[in-house]
Amino acid sequence: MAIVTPADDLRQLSALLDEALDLPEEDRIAWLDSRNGIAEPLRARLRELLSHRAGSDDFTLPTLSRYNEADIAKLVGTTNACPPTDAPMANQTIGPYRLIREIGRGGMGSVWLAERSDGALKRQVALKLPHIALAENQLVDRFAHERDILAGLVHPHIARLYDAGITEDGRPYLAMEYVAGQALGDYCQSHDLDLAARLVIFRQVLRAIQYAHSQLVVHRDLKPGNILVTDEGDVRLLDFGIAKLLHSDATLATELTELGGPLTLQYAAPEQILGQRIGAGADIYSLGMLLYELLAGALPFRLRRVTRGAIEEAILSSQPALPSQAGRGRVAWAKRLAGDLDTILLKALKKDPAERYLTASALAEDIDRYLNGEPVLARPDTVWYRAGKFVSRYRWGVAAVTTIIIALAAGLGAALWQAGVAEENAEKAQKEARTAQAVKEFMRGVFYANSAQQPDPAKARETTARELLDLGAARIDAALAEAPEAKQEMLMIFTELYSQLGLSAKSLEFAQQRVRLLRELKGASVEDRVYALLLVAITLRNQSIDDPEQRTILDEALALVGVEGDTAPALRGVVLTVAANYFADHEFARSLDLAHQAFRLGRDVGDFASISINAARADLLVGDYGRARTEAGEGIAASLAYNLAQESGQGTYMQLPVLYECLGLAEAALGEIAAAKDHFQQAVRQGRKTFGDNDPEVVRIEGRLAQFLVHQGQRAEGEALLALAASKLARPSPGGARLAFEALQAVGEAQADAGQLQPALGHLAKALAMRSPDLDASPTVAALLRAQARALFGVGRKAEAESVLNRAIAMREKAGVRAADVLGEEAGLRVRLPVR
Amino acid sequence: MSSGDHDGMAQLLAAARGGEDGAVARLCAALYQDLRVVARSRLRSHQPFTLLNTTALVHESFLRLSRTGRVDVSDRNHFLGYAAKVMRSVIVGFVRERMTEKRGAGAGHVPLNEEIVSGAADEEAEIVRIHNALEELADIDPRVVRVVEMRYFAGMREKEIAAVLNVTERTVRRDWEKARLLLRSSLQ
Repeated sequence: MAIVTPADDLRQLSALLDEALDLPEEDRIAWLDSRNGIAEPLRARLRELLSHRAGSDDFTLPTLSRYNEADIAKLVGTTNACPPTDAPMANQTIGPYRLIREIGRGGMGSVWLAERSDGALKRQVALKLPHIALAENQLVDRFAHERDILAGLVHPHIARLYDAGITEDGRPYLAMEYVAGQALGDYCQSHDLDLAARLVIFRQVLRAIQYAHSQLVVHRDLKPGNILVTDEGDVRLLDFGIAKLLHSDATLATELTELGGPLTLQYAAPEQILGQRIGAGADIYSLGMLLYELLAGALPFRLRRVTRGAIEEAILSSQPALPSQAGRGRVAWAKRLAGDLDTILLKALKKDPAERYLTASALAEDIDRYLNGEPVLARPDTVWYRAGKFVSRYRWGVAAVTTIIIALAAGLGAALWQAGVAEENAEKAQKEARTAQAVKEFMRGVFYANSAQQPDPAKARETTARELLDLGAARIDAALAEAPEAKQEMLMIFTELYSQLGLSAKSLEFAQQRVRLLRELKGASVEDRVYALLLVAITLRNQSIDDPEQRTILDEALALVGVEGDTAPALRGVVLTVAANYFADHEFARSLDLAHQAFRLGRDVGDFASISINAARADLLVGDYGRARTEAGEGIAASLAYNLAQESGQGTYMQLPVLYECLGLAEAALGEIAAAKDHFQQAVRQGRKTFGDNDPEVVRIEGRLAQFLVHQGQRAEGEALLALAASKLARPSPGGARLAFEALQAVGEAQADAGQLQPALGHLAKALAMRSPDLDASPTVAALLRAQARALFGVGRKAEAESVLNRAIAMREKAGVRAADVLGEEAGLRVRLPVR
Repeated sequence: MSSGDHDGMAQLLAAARGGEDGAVARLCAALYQDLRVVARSRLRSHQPFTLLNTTALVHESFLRLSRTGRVDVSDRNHFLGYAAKVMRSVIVGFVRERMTEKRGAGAGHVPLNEEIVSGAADEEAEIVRIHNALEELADIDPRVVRVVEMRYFAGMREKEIAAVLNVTERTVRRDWEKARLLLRSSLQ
């Protein structure tokens, strides 16, 4: 600390300054000369201070920025910011800055090279100023917004924000790092960079965007002019003017069209054109466009007329030309572009954001692989690849209602299964527009109703999500009676929202209502109807595993997808799988048949991983371990291929852990001990990574591995794992009743085999209580009962053991299972029965 | 801030305004909690404080509290005036905390981009220096200290500061000039 003035001196100095500052500036030195009673060091100091004229000083307290002035003005009800009246000119002072020359101009405002006018810091800045006509509240909002976003971004490849504020006359400004450089494309041209060098420099752009995304900022306006390269070859990203905070609840205009034209259309993603929800994927698309242009020398769409409409249409519906064939690039490069670079670029330019690289770093990694001569992870399209995307969002075990609905709400379902029916599109688009309008009006109505019930706006604001939802729910029938399309959509949204709030009974109610509506609605698509039914079935199962209503619902869904060949295989596959899963406990033979039918659809169908799990589990139950091993193996192969294509090898494909578990179970039964252990361990590792340590799927897999280890005589290892798994059973379990049951069963069975009989009995009884007492043909429950019988024998409760064993045998018989090892186990238990 | 003093903020402001004994201290304690929470949630620990974000935080705090009805919008200037004072201690507290952490963490950690981080860290150090200089001044000329706080930590305008202190704008300008000279004298 450089505080050199002792307190007494400071006090005296303060008093003397009071005297001096009351005088006009020009008289102060004269006053000092004539003032008596000032000791020397202080007099000199005072003279020094007073001789510095205001503003010409080298010490200035930093200028102050103001926060979201318009917001505050709105609250207070007035604005004291007077709009500036004149356009900026060179040498003009804006806040603490002096303008030097204009270096850029756009729809929103101009950018000036400027420097601090108070000399506090010798640095040049790029000063961004709004157009005069715009310098009103909305723009001030925008500036505050950009400032908030930039203030959070500190990265070597992003031009930094130094300062922001509003001048005394109400003019907002942003002072940013001044970058002397060329636009990316120009730089590559003027430095005659070859293809590899262009890729290397582009990686800097990717790093900057990856960083911005990690801070939850989407740029949304990536174009050549916003990417500068300095003479040293360093990239700087500029202009986060229309950037958006992901997940922000700011009500700032999110649609480009509302922003008055800063958007450079050619680089905009389809979802931006459509005014849909913008995520990081929009930036990935724009990056793809930029890189395409950089490498191929042209943009991917050839247009006869360059009009806004033509560009929009190309972005929305034309498939981009292969970069290697884009024509205007160098001939020598075409060969190098063909293959991997074509694939990389087309993946980045997918119409559907979910099909693009999920992150900028995934794109960067593929570029690295290309540069290193390694195979890239992007794959050319296949049918399976396309259809797989939808169902991959639907985690089989959890059968998460919300993921299905979200995928449906995103319009993916319809888009995928209606590929090839473009003729219907015009009519469909009209219908969708009408629906969207009705939905919008409905939502508005909900909020009006809220304010009508609650005339005090402060109270109205405090209405909870639940209350608002109930308010909306009560209005659906009346408000949307005339618009069944919108109504069914609204019902789906309410199903999802109630499910999100954990109100599953309410959620189910709306799902069922939607099913009823769709049954009557003329022209409802099979897809919509089937998915509505599956949602109900899955919601029912998550609440109560054996709820008999599932049977009716699933029979209806099965009837809708008809016989093989009639329906899109992907849709059929999902229905068969969900149905097989239910019937496994009720009509096992039918379940086995459904599971095999689904498996026969082949790996090009939708969620092949879930289909394989289902088939493998059925074959494990029936004792066909070889077939189960094949099914699990094929599921793994397909998932890995899919995984490579989708997730840049991160190993996050959701079904893999369960597939490895099935494989391990099959191998263990076949006596392939080493492979089984390896695969069980893989299942545990990946499961923890994918689902989290405490997920019921992980607990179940740990239980199965523990049981295997105990059987193999590796008791210490097995018991440690078992203790861990058991400790997690006490926690509340996410993922519905079915998974909770499976976890209890696995741990209970393993404990029975490990000789931990009392805990085993506790867990098995708890699991059994989750199932309907009417079950009489479930091989799964039969296995559970056998374990219970083992434990009961162990503790000497022989009579009970006998009755449980008899029930297990009857159930297994009725299911039609005659697996040799199961029969052997039963026989082994029988010989321990008391002789009568 | 606990939920119990939901109405307390507006009352405290009124009491502070009316010069009631201890009201300012209680108001500041309440604001301190609030601003700390806002600051913690908004500023990531690896990012240095700048005037930009400290000012923003004070205003954000006001907007938040006024939207929930805990502060009346007509009290904006007074609120900002007190919040500026509190922001000063919040920021200084944070910066010191971080300095301790850094010393504790040893020299192992090197920021990703030293150059960029150090620019803002300089500003952080300056905020602390100004805080210390203001401490020296607190007994000698409390009004000057408040003027600096309001301009520096809450980005308030002369007119707004004048309204809070119940003086003329000219007086505010004079105080500011005096502050500038005194701080110059102290900091050099």
